[in-house]
Amino acid sequence: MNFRLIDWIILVVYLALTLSVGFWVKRYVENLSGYLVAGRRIKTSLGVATFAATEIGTITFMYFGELGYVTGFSCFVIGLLSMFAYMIVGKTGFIIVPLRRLQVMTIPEFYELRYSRRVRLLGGIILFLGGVLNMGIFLKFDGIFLSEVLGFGPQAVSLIMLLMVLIVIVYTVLGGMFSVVVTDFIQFVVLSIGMLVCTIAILASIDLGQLGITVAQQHGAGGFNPLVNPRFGWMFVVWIFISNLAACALWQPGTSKALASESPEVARKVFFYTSLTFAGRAMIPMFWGVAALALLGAGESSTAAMPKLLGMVTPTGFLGLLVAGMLAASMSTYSAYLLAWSSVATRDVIAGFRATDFGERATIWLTRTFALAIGIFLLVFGLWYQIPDTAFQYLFITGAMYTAGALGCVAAGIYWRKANNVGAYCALAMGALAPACFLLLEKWRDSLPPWLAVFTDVNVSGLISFVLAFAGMIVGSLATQRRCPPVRLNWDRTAEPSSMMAQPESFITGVGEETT
Amino acid sequence: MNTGATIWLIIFAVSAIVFFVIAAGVSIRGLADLRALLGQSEQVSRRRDGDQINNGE
Repeated sequence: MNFRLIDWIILVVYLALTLSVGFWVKRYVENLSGYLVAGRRIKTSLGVATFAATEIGTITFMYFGELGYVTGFSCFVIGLLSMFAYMIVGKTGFIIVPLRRLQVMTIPEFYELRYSRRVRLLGGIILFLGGVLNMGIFLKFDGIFLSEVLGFGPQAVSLIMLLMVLIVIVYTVLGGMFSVVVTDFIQFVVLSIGMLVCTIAILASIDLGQLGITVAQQHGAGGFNPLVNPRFGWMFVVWIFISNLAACALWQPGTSKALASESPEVARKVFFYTSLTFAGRAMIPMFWGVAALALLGAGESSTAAMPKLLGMVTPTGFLGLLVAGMLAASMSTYSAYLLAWSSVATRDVIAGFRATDFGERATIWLTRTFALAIGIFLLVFGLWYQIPDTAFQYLFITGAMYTAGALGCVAAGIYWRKANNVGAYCALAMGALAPACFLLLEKWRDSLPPWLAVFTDVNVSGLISFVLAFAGMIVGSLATQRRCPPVRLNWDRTAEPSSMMAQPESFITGVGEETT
Repeated sequence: MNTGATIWLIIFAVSAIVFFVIAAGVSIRGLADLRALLGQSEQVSRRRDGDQINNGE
C-alpha cells in the first residue's frame, strides 16, 4: 500500500472539511434560482475557478492520462483544440451571452422560447440520456484511479465506487449550486497544488530525452503527429474542434456556470479566462501518461498505468494531498453534473409532460430525487459496462448525441431567422442518430456490411453527427417555412423562466406549432 | 531528443505555466468573490426572513 499515516490524516481532514462547508452553505439556498444557478451572482474569478473545477475531475486525468500512454505526444493537440474552441466562445460570446441575456437555467428552456414546448421535451430527453450515459463511466474510472494510487489493487474498485457515490449524492442533494460553487473553489485550489506537486515529482524522476525516444519506439511518427496517428487523423481533429465549440457553449454542467454569472459580460470573461487553462488541463495529465509509458513500459493496463506511476513517484504526505485533490475534483465534477442532469430531467423532461410547471419546492424536491436516482444508475452502469475505444472517445461520442443537435438548434435559433420547429426536430433527431448507431453497432463491428461498418469508427460517427444535425436544421426549416413559420425571440423578457414556462405565449412574438 | 518531442515539450511547458499562473491568480481573487457572494446571499436570506415575519407567516 502506498498510503502512510500522514496521507490518511490529510485525506480524512480534507474530506470532513469539504463536507462541512457543503452543508454550511446550504443555508444560502433561498429559492430555485439559488439552488440551480446560485442566484446568478457569480463574479469572474470565482466563475473561472468553479468552471475549471467542474471541467477537471479524476475522470479527466484518467482519460487524458490514458491517451498520453496509448498515443504519445500527438494527443497534446486536443489541449490546443479545446483551448482555441473555448477562447473563441469567450472572445465572441457565441451562444453563451444570448443565453445569459434570456435568463434561462437549462439549455432546453431555450428550445421552448425559440421553438416549442415539444421541442424542449425532445431536447431535454436527448440531453438527459446523452448526459447520463456520458457520466456513466466516471465512477468506474475514479474507482480505478484511487485503488491504484492508494495501492489497494483492482479488488477495491467496487467499494471505492460505492463510498464515492454516497458522499457525492448526499452533498449535492442537500446543497445545490451554492455547495457546488463554494466547494468547487476550495477544490480548485487544492487540486492545482496537487497537480503542481505531481508534475514536479514526475519531472524529477524522468529524463526528458528518454520520453522522446520511448514514444518514437512505441508509436513512430504517429506519436508526434496527430494526423498520422491511427487513432486520430484529420477527421478526429475537425470533430474534436467542433465538438469542443459545441460542448463549451452548450454542455449543461459548464454552461450552467455562465448562466449563473452576474451578467452576460462576466459570463464571457469567465469563458475566456477559463479557456487559457484548457491546454494545461489536458496536457498535464497527458504528460503524466507519456511519462508512465517511459517509466513503466508498454505492458501496463492503459487505464491503470498513469495512476500507478503517481502512486510510485509522489512523496509521502503529498500523496494524501494528491488523493484529496483528486477526490475534490471528482466531487465538484459529480455534483455539478448531478445537479445539471437532474435539473434537466425535472424542468425539461418531467415538466414537459404537464400543462403547467411544478412549483419551486416541488422542483427542488424532484431535482434531488433525480440526483439520487442518477447516482444509483452510475454505480450499476459503472460496474458492468465495458467502454469501446478510449474513454476520451467514449465521452465525446456520448456527448455528441446531444451537442450535435443542440449546436444546430441553439446556434440556428439565435443567429438564423428561418430556423423553425421542424428544423429543430430534424437537428435533434439526426444529431443523435450517428452516435446512437455507434454505441449500438460497435459490439458487432466485424460482422457488419461495409456501409454500416463506417458508423463503428468513432471519429466518423462523431463528425457525421454534426453534419447531419446541421443538414437537418437547414433542410427541415427551409422546406417548411410556410407550414410552420419561425418563432422570433423576445429579447426584452426579464421574468424568471419558471413563470415563463407556464405562459409561453407571453414571451414569443411569432406564431409557432403549439400556439396555432 | 527529436524535433517533434522538443516542440511538444515546449508547448506543454508554456501551457502548464499558464495553467498554474491563472490558478494562482484565481485562487487569490476568487476568495474575495466568494466572500461577496455569501455576504449578498446572507442579506437576501435575512430580508426574506424579515418579510415572512412582517407578513405574519
